[in-house]
Amino acid sequence: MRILVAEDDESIGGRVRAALGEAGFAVDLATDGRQAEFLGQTEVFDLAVLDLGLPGMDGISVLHRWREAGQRFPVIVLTARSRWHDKLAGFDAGADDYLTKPFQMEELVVRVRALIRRATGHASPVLHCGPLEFDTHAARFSVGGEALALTSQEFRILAYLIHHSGKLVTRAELGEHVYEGGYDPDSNVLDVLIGRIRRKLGLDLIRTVRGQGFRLAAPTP
Amino acid sequence: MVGVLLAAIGAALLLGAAFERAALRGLDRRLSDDLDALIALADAGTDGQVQLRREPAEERYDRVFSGWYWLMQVAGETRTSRSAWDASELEGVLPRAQAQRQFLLAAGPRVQSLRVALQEIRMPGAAVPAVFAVAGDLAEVRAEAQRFRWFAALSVAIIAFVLLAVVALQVEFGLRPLRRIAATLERIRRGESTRFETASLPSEVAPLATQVNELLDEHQRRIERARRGAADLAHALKTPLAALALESELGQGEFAQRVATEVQRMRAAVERRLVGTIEADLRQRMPVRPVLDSLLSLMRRAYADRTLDLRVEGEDGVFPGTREDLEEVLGNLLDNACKWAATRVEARLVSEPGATIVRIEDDGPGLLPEQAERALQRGVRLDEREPGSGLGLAIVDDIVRSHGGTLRLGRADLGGLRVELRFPLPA
Repeated sequence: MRILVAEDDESIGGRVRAALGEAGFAVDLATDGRQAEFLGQTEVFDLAVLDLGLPGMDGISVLHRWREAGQRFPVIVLTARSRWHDKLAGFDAGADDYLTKPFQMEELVVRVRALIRRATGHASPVLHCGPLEFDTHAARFSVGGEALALTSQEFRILAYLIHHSGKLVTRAELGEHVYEGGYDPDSNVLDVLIGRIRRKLGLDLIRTVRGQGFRLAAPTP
Repeated sequence: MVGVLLAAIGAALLLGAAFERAALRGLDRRLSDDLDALIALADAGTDGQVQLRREPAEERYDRVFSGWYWLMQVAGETRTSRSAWDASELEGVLPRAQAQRQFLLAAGPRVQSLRVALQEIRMPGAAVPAVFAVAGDLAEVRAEAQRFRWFAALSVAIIAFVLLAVVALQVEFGLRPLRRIAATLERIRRGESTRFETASLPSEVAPLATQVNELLDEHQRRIERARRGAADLAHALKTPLAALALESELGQGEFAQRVATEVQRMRAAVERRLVGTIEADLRQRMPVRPVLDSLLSLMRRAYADRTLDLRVEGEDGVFPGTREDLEEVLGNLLDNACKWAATRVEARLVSEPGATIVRIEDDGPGLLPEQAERALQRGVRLDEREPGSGLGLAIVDDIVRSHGGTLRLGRADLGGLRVELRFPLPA
């Protein structure tokens, strides 16, 4: 899951990036409005955290342009102004949630997870695929109640797949949503990682669709 | 007032005295004429003896004790008018006669007060000088003067009364524009008006009103500048405070804890500053329903995780203020309701003549009466689990009050908290 953080304050931007990275997200950072608008239009993101007081172009305008161009990824608005008028302006421009500065980092992470889950069509905070379970609150995978120990790369891949379980996920799509900067990894790297995940799951949940990509699906009985 | 009364009494006394003197002079003239007539009746006989050819004819000198008497004394022998009867009292005055005519006061028969005109004359051919005197009754003059004094006192009293009434009316009407100005200032102080309508004021006080208007405008500009400055400062502080709060989360131990506590306190101070910049403009009329609708659609997205049933009931009403303030009030209340509700939040609008009522209810746990009281205090958070600064309800209460409204907390029909807002709508 890849997130765009648009925040001009270095300290807050750095902290948000670190916290979201730790929570298992790939994070790109934009420090002014124009850069944020450009990245949102050209790269693929699962969510954006957008500060309204950006230099260059204010957050509301950035959001307007994204929505006009048909960008549908969920957006959490950060605002120093706690007036409801500003929150409503954010929502009218197409925001999905808001946080007022100063905010608790945990709360941002909780909201990011919930928004991504809802945006991918999941109502319950716990995602299932056969015996595989993903608790989005705790950010923990388990199989049949047993916790699964994953490296951060493995976690990102499996998290993306379970949010889109049952659907075909291409290699390019997986690369774009799992790595910062839209880094396109060598196919072999993905294959190696998928192979490791399969071994840890001990189940044949991830199918390789020849020449196209992968699909996470419950085993057909 | 006292001055007018003293002047009136003084005028009455002076008039009385002047009249009495004029009356006395009139009496003196009459006595003088009668004395001339008496002298003209006398001449010296061939024997050098002065005699009256006849007595004066006037009836008043014949009627006994009429108060009018004449006397003539020649060589110690006295003739008197018939009216005098016994002139012994009057005779006492005769030795004071001189060649020049004099007017004296004297006692007459029957204790009458008399005015006497007398003169000593040596007739041509007479052996000895003769003394002539005519006396008139003063009582008549005095009674006349007394009547006049009463009349004067009454006239002066009427004049004084009219004068006082005129002064009172003049004060009443003359100060009326000033009283209007005072009443308008009072309305400005209460916030029902912002300035004077100089066009409707009399020309004497219009310049004063214009000056006051300019003073009010200048004050408004200064307040506006100060308010903007305070709001800008508060906003400018929020981002560094956010950064500090995040940094303190990184640290461990007592120091980080203290930084976090202080940052929280600074944040509360900043929030308070921002609410302090609210200024109510009660002449505005903002429809409530559209704001409720857009806030509810915001809540539906913000609380998309929970299957909340959010509803608006009732006809539309208006809020006496700006859209921003209305959004602030309803946003905080709906957000609270959504946080606590189990499944339902209901906003009900009631429009009464002269007031708009908004009720927001939820089916959450509600508040006990003592909790409700505490909830309106600044910075108090009833629940540490829910994120928020704990200023929500207190801010709402501030805004509602600044719009002349009231906020009441109670138990909802749905089972949870009911917040009832009532905004009077001044015509």
